[in-house]
Amino acid sequence: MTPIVDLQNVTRTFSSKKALDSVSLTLQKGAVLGLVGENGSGKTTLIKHVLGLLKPDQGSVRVFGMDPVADPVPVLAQIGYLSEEDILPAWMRVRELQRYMQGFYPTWDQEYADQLVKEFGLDRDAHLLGLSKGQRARAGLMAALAYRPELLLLDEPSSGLDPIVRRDILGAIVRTIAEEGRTVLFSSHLLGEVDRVADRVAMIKNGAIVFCENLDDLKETHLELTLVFAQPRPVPPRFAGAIAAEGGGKEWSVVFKGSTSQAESAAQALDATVAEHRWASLDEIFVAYSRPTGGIE
Amino acid sequence: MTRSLPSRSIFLALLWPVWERNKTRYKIAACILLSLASAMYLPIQDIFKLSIASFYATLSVFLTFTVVGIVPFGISGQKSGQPGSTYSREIFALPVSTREFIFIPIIFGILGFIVVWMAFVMTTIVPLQLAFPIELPIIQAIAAVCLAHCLWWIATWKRRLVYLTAISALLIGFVQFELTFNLMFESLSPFRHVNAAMTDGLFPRPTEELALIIVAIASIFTAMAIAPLARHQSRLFGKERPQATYLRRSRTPSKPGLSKDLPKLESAFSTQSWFEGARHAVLMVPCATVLGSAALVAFSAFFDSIGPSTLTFTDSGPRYLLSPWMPLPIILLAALYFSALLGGTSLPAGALKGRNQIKGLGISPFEAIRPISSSNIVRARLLMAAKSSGITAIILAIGFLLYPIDAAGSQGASTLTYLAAHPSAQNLLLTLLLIASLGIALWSIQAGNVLLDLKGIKGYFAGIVCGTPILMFVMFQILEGTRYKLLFHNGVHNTGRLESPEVYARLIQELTVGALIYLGAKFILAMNLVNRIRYRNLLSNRSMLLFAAIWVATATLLIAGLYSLLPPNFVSASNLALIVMVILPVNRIFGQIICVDTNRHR
Repeated sequence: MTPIVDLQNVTRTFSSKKALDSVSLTLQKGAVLGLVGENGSGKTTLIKHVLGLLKPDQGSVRVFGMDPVADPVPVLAQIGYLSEEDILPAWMRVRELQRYMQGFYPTWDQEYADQLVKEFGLDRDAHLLGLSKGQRARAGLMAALAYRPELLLLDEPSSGLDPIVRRDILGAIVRTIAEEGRTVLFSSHLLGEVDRVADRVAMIKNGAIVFCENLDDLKETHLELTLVFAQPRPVPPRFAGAIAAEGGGKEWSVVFKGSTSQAESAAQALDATVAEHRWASLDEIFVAYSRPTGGIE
Repeated sequence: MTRSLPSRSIFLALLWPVWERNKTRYKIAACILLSLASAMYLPIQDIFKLSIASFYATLSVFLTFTVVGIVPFGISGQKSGQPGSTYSREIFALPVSTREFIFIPIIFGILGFIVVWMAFVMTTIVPLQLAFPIELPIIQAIAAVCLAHCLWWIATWKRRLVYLTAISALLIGFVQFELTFNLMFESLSPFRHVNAAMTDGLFPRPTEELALIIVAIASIFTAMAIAPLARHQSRLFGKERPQATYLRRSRTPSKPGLSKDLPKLESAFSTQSWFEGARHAVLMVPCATVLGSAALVAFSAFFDSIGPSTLTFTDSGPRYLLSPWMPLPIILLAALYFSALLGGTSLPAGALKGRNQIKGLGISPFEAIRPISSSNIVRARLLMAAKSSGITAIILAIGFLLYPIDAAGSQGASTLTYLAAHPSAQNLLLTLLLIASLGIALWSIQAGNVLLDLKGIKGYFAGIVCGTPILMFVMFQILEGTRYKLLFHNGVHNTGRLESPEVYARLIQELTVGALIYLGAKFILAMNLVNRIRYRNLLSNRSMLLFAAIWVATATLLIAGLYSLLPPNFVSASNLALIVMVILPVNRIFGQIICVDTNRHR
């Protein structure tokens, strides 16, 4: 089956900075991929390549089996896009936005659009300029969902929004995924959201994919260990599977990739004992991989 | 020991960020002024000084708008504090009184104008010993800056205030005009001693055909230069349609669900066309009038010159009646002109600027991600430009037809009255041709400006700013050979005439060769663009053939129409064909498609 999104060895450089470094990523129909990474890591650049707004220097981008640069019309007709940037024209009214969108998308479902407007408490006659940031985000989501796109691209959609708006947005996304089986590429800083929505997580760092795994697998392969050493250590412990460590003296917390038995074996080899272990949270995994050297020198 | 920062006055505190943001521009302006000033005091012939002055006269338009415009209107940051006001949030947060907010930028604007104007005086008026009242433009600038500031920057905007300000603007303009030109209040005029020279100088009655064509070309070039400048101003404003959105919002029904559903749009192209129209609806006509006014002057001057052999209004051609009410339409036109400049989108098809714009792109991401082909985006913009050009052409033609003329035996009558009294197929065709030519000329200018927008590269704007004065300079250098001088100089010294038939013939020959070279280059570039469009598969062969057919048909109609209506021996058929083919856009249209595609997929 043709993947919905297929990036192969995509490299893109801006001036001397490599924004994407040989990125390969595949998204099958129905998949929900959470894209995480620090600011400037390349998340938005990657999404813009999927939209065809950027062309790769090397590698290939296929969306629905087509090149989004060469065939933008059929590709964009099947993509719903919502970004943290407020790109909606301020002068439009909500109903004008609906009118505008329905002209482009034959699959536009006016009933569904009206339902979303009602659910989000939007005034159809209100200008977008006069809406609050949260309301504008809701209007943007309405515009991105009402034509039931095959692929949803959400670039930090709830960044800077209050918890109620975030809940609304997330709820609508979750419902879309659950009811319609859409494919979603979802970038966010809010790992709780990713945890709730995504079934796969990819982390991007300095333009390169660090990992791209099933969310459950990811959490089940990463442990948060508390290691107690016989003698105080001036530097963090370094051993196979250790991703990041923090602490000092005799006691160190380590994010470890592997099983419990592997962790215990590794600790024994360092003359330490595993005082405590538990599954690492997505937050801890993200922070561990984000550090320049994982805290391990 | 740390030194505390020196405390600044509010005046300096408001000026400082403006200076920081624009200091490079100011420095460049200062360097240009200094270099020109130095050149004017060099021991060279007056004729060269005139050429330099012509260069500076064009450049000073940009400098004035830059220096005057940035200061009072550029105080805004990227995001406004409230709807209806373009003051930035940061400014609202400063411990500054509203009075200071209002008056300090106005003072900046006036000072900025005085600096530029005095530089102009020192570099042009003094060395050339021109009789011109130096204080007059300053007084006018004070009124203009105050009014403009009130019109566009008042934070709390009431409808009554809009009407009051608009009426005040018209009245003040009227009084200024009267005081300047002595029409009704002659005894009150402080400038009556220079009135005769002023009137002759500013409103010359040119009679030489070629000179008038050159004026027309110069006006169009100026209009072409002003349009991107206005868009640049809109970027400085950082906001689209500052007041219009707020005014429309105030009419929003308070209860949801009361709105009437809009009819469904059927295709992506019709939707994009609606989008282009809707977002510029408020400013469409006045903005297009910016371009139209210059063309109107050119066309009316053109008619003035060919009057004796075609319209035959009088023995000496149609003349404008200098009636006491004459200033009103002029002021109205000037108000539209000024409003449009301040509105910042002199061109309906202009790209959206401001916070919604992709960095460095000429199209917004909102449009870029829609499933519509690049060629259809261009088509929608050009269609919108065509609509606005058509409306503007009709408005201006109506204005022209209603304009009072001093026709033989019908003093005070309008052109329309005269035409009605002397009906002929030629007059009808000539009127229709006027509207069509005006519309096509305006659309042609807009096509170029859309291209500039869609390129999304700031350098092109700078290129236009620098290029236009250079072009004007070259043009005046050529004209210098024919002893044609600047209009104001013509008025003051009464020396601008094409006196020598040999020089006239030589000029025509040189211009023909120049136009042929230009046309050759134009078609070579067109071939290159067509190849690129075909390579990228941006336009079907059928669409290209259709475009070629429309272009050829339009050119043929214009050439045939103009040739049949213009006086015999006025211009040869080949030269007319050359002019039409040079003006009709080809590369500006193909270039847009390439630009949109390049901008969408970077």
